[in-house]
Amino acid sequence: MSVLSIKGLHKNFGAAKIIQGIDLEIEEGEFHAIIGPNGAGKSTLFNLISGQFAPSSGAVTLHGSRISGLRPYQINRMGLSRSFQVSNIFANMSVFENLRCALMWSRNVGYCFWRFASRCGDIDARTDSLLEEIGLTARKTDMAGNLSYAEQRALEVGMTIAGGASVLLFDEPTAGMNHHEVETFAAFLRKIAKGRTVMMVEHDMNVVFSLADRISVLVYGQIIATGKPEDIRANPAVKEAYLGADA
Amino acid sequence: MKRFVIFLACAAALAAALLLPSLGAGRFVIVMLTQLAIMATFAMSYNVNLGQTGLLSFGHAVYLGAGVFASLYLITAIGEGTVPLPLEFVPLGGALAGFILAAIFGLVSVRRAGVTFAMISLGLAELFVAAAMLFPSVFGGEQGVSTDRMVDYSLTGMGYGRPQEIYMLVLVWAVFSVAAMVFLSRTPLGRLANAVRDNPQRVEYLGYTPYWIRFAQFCIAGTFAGVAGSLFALTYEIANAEVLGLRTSANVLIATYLGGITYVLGPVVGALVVTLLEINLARLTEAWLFYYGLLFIAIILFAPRGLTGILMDTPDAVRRAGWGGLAKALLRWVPVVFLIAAGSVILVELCYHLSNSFDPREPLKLFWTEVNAQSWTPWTVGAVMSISGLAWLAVNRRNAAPRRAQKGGTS
Repeated sequence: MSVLSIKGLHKNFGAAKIIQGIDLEIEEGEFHAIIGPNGAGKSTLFNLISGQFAPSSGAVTLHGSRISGLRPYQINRMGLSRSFQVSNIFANMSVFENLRCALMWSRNVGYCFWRFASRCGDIDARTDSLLEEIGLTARKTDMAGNLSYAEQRALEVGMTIAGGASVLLFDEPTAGMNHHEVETFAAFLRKIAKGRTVMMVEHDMNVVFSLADRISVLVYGQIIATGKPEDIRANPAVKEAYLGADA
Repeated sequence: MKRFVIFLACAAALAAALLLPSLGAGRFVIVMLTQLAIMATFAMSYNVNLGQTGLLSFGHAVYLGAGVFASLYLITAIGEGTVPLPLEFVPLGGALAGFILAAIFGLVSVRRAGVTFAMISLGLAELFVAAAMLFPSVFGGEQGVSTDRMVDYSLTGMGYGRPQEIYMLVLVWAVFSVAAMVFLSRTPLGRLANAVRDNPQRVEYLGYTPYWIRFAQFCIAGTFAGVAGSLFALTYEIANAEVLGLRTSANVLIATYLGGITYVLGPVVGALVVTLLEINLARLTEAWLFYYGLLFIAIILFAPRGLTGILMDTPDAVRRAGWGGLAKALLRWVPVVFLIAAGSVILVELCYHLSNSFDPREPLKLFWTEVNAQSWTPWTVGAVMSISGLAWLAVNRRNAAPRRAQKGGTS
């Protein structure tokens, strides 16, 4: 059974029809990339799945239960976590605090105000090991807003995986990085994705074709093709709509 | 190192606060310290909203007022024997009153932060003040509500009639409240509040509801404002509806900002400065509110992280520039700032004297001399001093910029 299933999804903003009927099944453990030209509705699709917007019609189900129409925090508690295209971190807090806040809910800390945060179970130790995993141990006490761009992207991904979600949505994780950073980051993403189900919007085709198990092509709010990377590369409709005739 | 110095400073301040009465400090000092302790509690509670959670409230005096009036009635009831509660626990009543009011108002106001929240807080405050005016039977109208704190029912056996005794009670509650709020900032809720302040959207994607975090912080702020209100009631034994008003709300905002909203203990520093200014500057000059306002503007423009920010940045500045560099910078800037300040003070005092004094022909006492406010000489001196200082600043503006950035930092 698929982990994430999208059926007949529509989203209109006034008269503008941004998402026009998407059906998609994401299998357990797969790395699924969404590609498409600017304005195709990729970010809107992520916002619909993660709860930023409610769909105009259609349904999204996660592990068999309907999540469309729920609030982002409810969806997050059910095991779906997302990252953002523009780094969405807590700029005036340390890197350590950023990550610790990100994993609190999953460690059953709740809204506790009667105990030092550092005395709430093993959250400090877990935060440290997460820091190690994303390679920011040396920046532990620095303000998140003072990190370099690539470091902020790493923190962004770290906060996304901190809660132990089994389904991850990455919205253009390598946007704005230079060539060298992209390579390192792609390897990092491959490591992160192990044992998890990932959906990723990405513009860098090298990253997409090296990471994705399957690719869906979104054009004008509709998916025109879904398949393995080599099939997508060979698909004439995709070539015309997106990759350009000579790709 | 920095932490150790801060710890030492806190310990020294606490020791001084505890020992001053027994060292024979006069009544004036005791009254001032009592006012400082109340203000510190109130400003700390305000910063639970502003600095910690990013909620800019224009109506925090309402929760102080709830504590004040609840406590005035509670003290009277204890005195009459209808409530069997030792006087030391009156602040619990104020806390409850502040909490209940904050819980009611919080439900409707914390859904959004920013301008929305600020405007709702202003509206609710005005509403509450207007309601207080409508019910003189509860809030006592112009002459207010009064009580007598000598209720003959206390845990320690003290009568709390003398200022020294009530000061000790106020100090214990103030220290407890400040410590509790410092603790709060280190709990998961306190950290999440910082996260909501920085980026509520992301918090929602981490499984938490920003609304509940804001609501909890708002209620806690109201609770400790209620405690501060109780301490006010215990100290002054009288209050009218003015205590709920915008003046009080603005005052706590200014004190908190002066101290520095990004530091947990910043509001205590702000309360210290504001109380000292209020009491001492007001004795020196009629224009003290004017200077108070100028100081506030200067802090907002040049040191947005407040006086605490300046203190905390000094070690870094010394490390970067060395003591010699710091001395050089001070030598460069202190004279010109002094020139502008002294010149403006002369002009302001002359204006106040001409417009406010009984007879403008009387000589005006200015610093160590007396001047005639109707002659040209003092006006010329004041104008020359401030204009030459400002001109020097304008010419050296390019050099001023890095210094300002270093002092202000980003926040």
